[in-house]
Amino acid sequence: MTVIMNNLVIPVGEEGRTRALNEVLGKLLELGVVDAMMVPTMVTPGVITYLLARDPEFARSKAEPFAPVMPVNGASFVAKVVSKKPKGKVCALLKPCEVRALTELVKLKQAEADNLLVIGIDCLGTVARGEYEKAYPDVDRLSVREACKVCLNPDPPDTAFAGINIGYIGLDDGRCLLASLSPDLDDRIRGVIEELGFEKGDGLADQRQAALAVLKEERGNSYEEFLRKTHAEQDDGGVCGIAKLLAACVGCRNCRVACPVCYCRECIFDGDVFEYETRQLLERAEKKGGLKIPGETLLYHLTRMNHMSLSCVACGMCEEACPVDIRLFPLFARIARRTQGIMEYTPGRSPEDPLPFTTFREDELEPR
Amino acid sequence: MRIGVFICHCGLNIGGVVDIPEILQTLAGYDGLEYVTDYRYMCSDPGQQVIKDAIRDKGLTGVVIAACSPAMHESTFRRTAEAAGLNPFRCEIANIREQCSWPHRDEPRRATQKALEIIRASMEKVRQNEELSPVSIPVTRQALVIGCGIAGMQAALDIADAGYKVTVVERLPYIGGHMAQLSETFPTLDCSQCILTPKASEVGSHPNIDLFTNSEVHAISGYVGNFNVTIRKKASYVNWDICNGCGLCMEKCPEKTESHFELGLATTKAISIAFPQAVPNRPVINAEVCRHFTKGKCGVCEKVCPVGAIDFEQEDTFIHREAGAIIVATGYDLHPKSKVGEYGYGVVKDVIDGLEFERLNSASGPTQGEIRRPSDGKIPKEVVFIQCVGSRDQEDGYPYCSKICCMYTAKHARLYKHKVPDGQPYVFYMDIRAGGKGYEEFVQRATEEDGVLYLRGRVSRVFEENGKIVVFGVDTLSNKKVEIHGDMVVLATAIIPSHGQTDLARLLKISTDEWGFLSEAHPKLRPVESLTRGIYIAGCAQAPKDIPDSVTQASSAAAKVLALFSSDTLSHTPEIAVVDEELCRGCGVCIEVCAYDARTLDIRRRVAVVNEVLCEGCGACQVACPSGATYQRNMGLAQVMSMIDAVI
Repeated sequence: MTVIMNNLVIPVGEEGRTRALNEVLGKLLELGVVDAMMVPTMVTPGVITYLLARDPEFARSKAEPFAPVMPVNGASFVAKVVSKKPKGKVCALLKPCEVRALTELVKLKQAEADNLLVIGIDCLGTVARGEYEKAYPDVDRLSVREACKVCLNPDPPDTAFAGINIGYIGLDDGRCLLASLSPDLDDRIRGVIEELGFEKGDGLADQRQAALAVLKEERGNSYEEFLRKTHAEQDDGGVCGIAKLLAACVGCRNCRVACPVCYCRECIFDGDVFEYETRQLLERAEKKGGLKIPGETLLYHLTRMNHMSLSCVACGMCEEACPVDIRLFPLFARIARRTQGIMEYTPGRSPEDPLPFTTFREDELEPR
Repeated sequence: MRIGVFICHCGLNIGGVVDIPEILQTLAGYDGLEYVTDYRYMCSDPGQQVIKDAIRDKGLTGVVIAACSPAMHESTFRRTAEAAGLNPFRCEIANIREQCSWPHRDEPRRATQKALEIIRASMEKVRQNEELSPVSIPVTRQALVIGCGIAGMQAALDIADAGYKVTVVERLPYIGGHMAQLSETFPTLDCSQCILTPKASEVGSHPNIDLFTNSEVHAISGYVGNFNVTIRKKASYVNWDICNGCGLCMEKCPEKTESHFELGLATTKAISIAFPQAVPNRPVINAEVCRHFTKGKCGVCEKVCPVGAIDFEQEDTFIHREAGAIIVATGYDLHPKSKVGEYGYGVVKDVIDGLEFERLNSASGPTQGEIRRPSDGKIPKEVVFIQCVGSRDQEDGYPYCSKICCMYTAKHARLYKHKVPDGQPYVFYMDIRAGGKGYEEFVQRATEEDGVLYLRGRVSRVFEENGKIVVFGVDTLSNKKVEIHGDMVVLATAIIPSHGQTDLARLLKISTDEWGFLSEAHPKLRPVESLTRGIYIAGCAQAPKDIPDSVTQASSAAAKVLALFSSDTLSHTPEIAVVDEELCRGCGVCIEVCAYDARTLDIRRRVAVVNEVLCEGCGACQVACPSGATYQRNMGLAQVMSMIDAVI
């Protein structure tokens, strides 16, 4: 599945790439082709969150599209903003893993893709939120999160939305950005961008693709190495091994709140299904001699794996959110790789790929 | 909750394996257990009385019957509980026979432990069971019969005679199906038309029957008691309301074409009535050959029609009908000619199939009932009948037996001998299957009275040589090669489902077997029901059958429909799924997994909605829903967790 994009070069001046891109974002609002725009912003020094801007000046002055930090996978917020089809056009500026998570949410009918403009942006990794805040503004020495180091998708998928992708990977010295317009992009938006008089950038696009190919190969190798290493560390005999890994879990459910594709209104583990009567708990404890409390740790994590591993975009936010530092990312990364492999499913690639839960192939569970 | 547990010995079936006294002892004192007892046969009247007495005397609010599979006696025991004043859905079955004592016969200790766990799990379930009452569904007391051969006719007449309206849809312009093409019928050799025509005319004129011939079911929606049907009435280019069936148009029509009814053994006109006794007796223009349509000129029929019934502008019309029940009686086709090349079928003109022989033998057929071979009209002196052509053939055909061929071949051979006394019929057969009243005697008479020569063995090749048809075969009884130089060969080709049946099944959402025959709900105990409630099957649509069997099944299907129509409402199990709208996120995964189309998404409120009538309570949605927003009544996740807890 390839899409022929219309590539344009956004020149970056003295004031830097943030200024250059924000100028374009501001234009989109100013000319009324989008009515609102969700962008990362810095609320206090070192603290990044999202802003739903309607005033073009807000977008121009406050957007921080390149801030190397992701407090929350923004797909969850987009889903909140466009849970119903908005009257006007809403634009969201998202990192690749956010775009992919949003694609999953659209398939799960948790976000409306109609009237939504997604601007995806290359990402070379984000640093942990806390570290960023502490070190700000001296952030360059920080190293990116583990999930980002092995991220296989530093570029937003061309196939997910009829939007715009902003590329910078492989482009010389940051003197320009590449705006790739989807062929199905809304004509009014296309018109406004083309009016801005950017030059065609097919050569730069090839340059970026070449750089991406190299980067992805490197990442692929580190990913394999990472899986091997963590497998050796974590895989300690099936269920018992997982139970050991999760031993410190306090049952706060932060991982599921942070997970962009965990979309339940209320987690089933917070409902009455797992509210046991005193009698039942005592009986259980009697049977085994003793009962660990909280009791549903393993079942909770296995259930979450069952529900979301096919849609897992490997953003690693679950691990970021864990107050007791459980190594959730490698666990879910390994599970997701297996389940997605079995179902031959790539989450986030395209809204056209059917969710494996809703389709059936006779051979899908054959041993292979 | 005051729970009573009743343990059935089922003679030695359970009692001989599971240590029931030990279970009684272990269960006593279990939290919430009010009463526990055992009985030799709990399903017997005195056994049921034990349950009733205990419910009343001990004031039980839930019971567990530890016995055989719920498929056997769940309804029995629920009725028992209800009779004693308990809500029937507070009665649960713990299956300790099929799922315990039978498979674990050799390990009584562990079987006893497992039985105990099964009982405890059921106690946990019943502890959380709600009191439920059945869902009530209105019933439209009108039936739809699809296909009007002998099975469809019989079913339609039975329902109509009972006083209910029946809509009958037949694809062909006439009713009667293949039976209308037959000459005589086994085992009594009475004339097919003579016994069919009165029924056909009754169908045509019955006040309760709304007959649509030259029509097909175009679309169908709804569910038991409430189907909505769209019928496509194909253009006949004749206004049947005006036409009086005088036949002048057919007489004057200049364009000849092969007769479908005569299987190509005779010609008919571009405007035609298939046969003289056809019901309805109205002509249809075959637009593919009619000169008006192919050449744009002619219109002779229009000129000669005394009532002005010809209507070249006529188009297909769509008619809507409601039906509470549907009977599918779409009949059969024969294994196509192209597939039996080794027998010269389709190449050698005098190699014909059974139905073609019926036409040759029919008094109203192309030879007025004289047995004359198609190629030159000569009377064949030696005729070879070959059975099991395509049937019982794992390699090139179908593994099943077509059931009627042994009998009709015997009939053909005898009728041939009656008409050509100096002729010799040969029959190649694999086995003679003549199970049926008077059938075996009929076959015996073929050999003893009519001198039909039966050869047990298969034919390898049939070809034409010097005006004769050479049949190479083996007689496996004498172990000799046989070579017959005959004049005509009749192939008993396999019965296959009528063309388009698979598409119809898809439309109706009923299942077919691998050959395309409709699947019955249970091969022995529910042979006329499909797996979809309110849809019944009759005749060869289900499997090859002769006329008596088709009629029997049609009447059975009609009886099922009449039972459904005995009340203007019917009840549906309340053990179905409900949606907790507070929890539902409207992701729609449950809709995709529902096999019964019982779920839709309420776009406005963003929640899944259950159609109570269509929901069969399979639980797939509950499994698929990540939010726990779907609750399967009396089989909720909390209940399942408690049940699991009781066994681990």
